Amino acid sequence: MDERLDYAPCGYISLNDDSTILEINKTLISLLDYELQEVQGQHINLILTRASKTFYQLYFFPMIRLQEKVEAMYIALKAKSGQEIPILLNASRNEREGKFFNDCVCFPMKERYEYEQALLTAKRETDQRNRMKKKQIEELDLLRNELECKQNELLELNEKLRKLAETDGLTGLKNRRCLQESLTSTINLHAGGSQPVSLLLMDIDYFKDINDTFGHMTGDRVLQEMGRLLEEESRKEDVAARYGGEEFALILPNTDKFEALKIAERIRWHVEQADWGKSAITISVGAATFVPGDTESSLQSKADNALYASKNGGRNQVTHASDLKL
Amino acid sequence: MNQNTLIRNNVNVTGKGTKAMIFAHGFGCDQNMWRLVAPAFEENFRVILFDYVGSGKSDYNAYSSTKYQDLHGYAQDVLDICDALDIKDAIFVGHSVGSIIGILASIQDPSRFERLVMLGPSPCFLNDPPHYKGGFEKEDLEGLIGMMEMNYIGWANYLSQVIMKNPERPELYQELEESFCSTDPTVAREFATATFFSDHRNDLQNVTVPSLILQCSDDAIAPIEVGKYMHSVLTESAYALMEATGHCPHLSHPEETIRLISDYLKSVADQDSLNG
Repeated sequence: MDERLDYAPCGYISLNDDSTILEINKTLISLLDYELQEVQGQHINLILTRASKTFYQLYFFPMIRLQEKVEAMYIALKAKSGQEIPILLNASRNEREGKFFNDCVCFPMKERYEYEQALLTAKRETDQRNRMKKKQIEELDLLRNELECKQNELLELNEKLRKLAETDGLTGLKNRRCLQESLTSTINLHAGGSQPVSLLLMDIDYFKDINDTFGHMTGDRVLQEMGRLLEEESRKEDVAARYGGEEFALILPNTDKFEALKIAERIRWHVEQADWGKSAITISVGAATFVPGDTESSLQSKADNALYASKNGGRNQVTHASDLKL
Repeated sequence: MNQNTLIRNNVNVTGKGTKAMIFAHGFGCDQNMWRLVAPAFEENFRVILFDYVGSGKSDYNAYSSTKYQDLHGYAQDVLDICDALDIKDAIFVGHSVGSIIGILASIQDPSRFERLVMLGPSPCFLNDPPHYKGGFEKEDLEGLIGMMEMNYIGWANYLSQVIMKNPERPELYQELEESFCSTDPTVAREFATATFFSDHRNDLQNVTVPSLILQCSDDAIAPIEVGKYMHSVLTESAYALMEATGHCPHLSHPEETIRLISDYLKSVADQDSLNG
């Protein structure tokens, strides 16, 4: 071997396709701490670590055969003492006198190997952390979704409860409590402005007789039908409610006395005209319209007085509170 | 689907024969590994070369970590190709893990295969004392994967970022592609795990297709004991110890490889005609 190559500042080794070591320079031999005759003619496995032997078969050999060169491959050599020597290796496949040689140069990369190991370790840790972070974010997302679902369920439930709380079970109209609230808010909304507000109170005439004669089931059906009729007669912004027993109420926002009486009369007429089956049914109606100084309770008591007057006046009629003689 | 499979697995069909001969590469490379052997069979066979999904010039978009977490996913590739080319009674030639992939495919659908030829097969790389010697301890395999990481797969993300940040330097990608048989690093790691940490010894008894085991002398990856073990468990298996050393006789000793496969196929053909 050329002396310059023999002592070059890199290892040189030439292999045949059986991976037999044909030539090896002094630099590499001394790096491995062998004598020339101990390695020449031997299989490359002699100077490879366990992992490198496999790696050589899996990567080095196919590459040098198929691509005729190998560049910057990291493997580990095994010195005579068994010590591992990480090296970087370049190889090319060359033909000389009709034979093929896989010529390799290599140099130790002990320190670089340490750097790279440290970098790889750091990278693995980062990857691991990123994976964990991703997993945690996914878990959080899942929890957030669950929370949202639960919240929506809760909102729906609350909405259901709210409806139940303000609805009269038998007629499906608003109940007394809700009527009270609606009346307060309607008055608050309109009393300040110039919009009139009216209230109708309605009572089914001789309802006790219906119950007594035909039974409570029939009585309930009459109440339900009355609720349906009232719903039908009320406008979108009106609030129809069961006031209690056989008594009903209708809040009429933006409605003056004249209009309120018209509506009341129409309802009374419809009730009288409706087919109630076994007996005729009529209602008495008391109406009141908000005037300055009124409160929701004064308005209710005026309407109540008017209803009383309708009852006393012979039932099946409408009376407005402002027409009562004081 | 058929056309998709052929593109997905970069299937190449050559040869003048009618009987199909499928060549399945091993871990770490692609169909190029058969360059010195496959052409010898083109005269009498319909030669089929392909890359597993995730190897060579296959469609990497078809790769799924779940499907290819074990060798059954790769066996499905083989069966898909048989289906796409309407192959029956093929000669299947597998290298290393490619042999085991062929074994799994043949168990699933024996009608596709007439013979299995296996170069350096190993059903289990790990030692399982006291009765089985795969040749590797767990640390050895971890050392191997560590070496792969140091060379390539560990740096994959960084390398791909470097490439993406330097679109004006396409040669970077070119170099990378050449450097490790264009195997995607994520896939390489998962394929390595599927290959080296699998144990298919129990599958061997379910193989019904006759086979030939080509065992290399002095193979660091599939030692002679492993080849003998396979021969003892596989029914109707023939065994030949090659002069070739190493793990890639189809690259290092193509003539011997071709001769042994041809002789085997000829002998079984003679036998069949005698029996028939």
